[in-house]
Amino acid sequence: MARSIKKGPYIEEKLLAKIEELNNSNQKRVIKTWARRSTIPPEFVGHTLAIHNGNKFIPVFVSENMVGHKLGEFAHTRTYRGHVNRKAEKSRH
Amino acid sequence: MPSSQPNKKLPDFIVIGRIARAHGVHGALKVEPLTDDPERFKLLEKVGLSFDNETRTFFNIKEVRIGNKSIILSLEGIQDRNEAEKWRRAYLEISVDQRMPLPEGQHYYFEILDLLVKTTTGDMLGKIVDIITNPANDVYVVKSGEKEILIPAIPDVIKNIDTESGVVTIHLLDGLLD
Repeated sequence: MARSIKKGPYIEEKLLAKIEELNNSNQKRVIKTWARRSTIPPEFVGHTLAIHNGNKFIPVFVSENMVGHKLGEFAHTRTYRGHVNRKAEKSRH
Repeated sequence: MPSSQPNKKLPDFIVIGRIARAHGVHGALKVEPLTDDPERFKLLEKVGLSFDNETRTFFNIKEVRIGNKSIILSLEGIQDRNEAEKWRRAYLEISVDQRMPLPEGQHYYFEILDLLVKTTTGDMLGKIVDIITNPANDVYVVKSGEKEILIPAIPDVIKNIDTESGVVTIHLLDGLLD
């Protein structure tokens, strides 16, 4: 069930405060977070967050089209190792 | 400190799909593509099927039909469903020379694995041992002694990938090694 519109999105306050501090000082730093349930507000865009997946912190660069999603959606908790060493897919950076 | 690997040897064959199951009664195969552009199947004339990466059997392609999530492939020499069923779960391979050229800034996984990682300040971090595919960005797993470092494959961090000399140069963002 969707969250009530009256309440607004849930955003981890401590994380938002840290990001706003970085935005104000125009700095870039990787911030570790466990707040997988936090919604991504526009303030996060352009920052790299290390999101905990239960085992390690996965560095995730927040882009515009991730706004409105939860942080946890971008750090999978299970590893699919089906084709790891054999696949021909490509990586972009 | 790991040693440098200039001119890393490329694999002879690369995988572009996996046989999911037989399709129909005339020997067609349903293929799960493991490549970003399934349209490339239409350009192929010959493919290898392999279960173990050691031995492979080559077939000429008779017909390719591209669906939403899968590809239906008809191969010369596979005439009926029983024959097709024998290839279930086999990998579909092409020789490395047949790989599609990539635009700038993109690399095949096998080109990136085993490269050494160096920072812009000249510190050697270790070797890329794995690539985690994430919805937001790929993550390179760099083994540095006993420690694993996760490097996001984003333009802010990856400054240069030199497959010839086997070195990836990265800009270490503050907090990336914490």
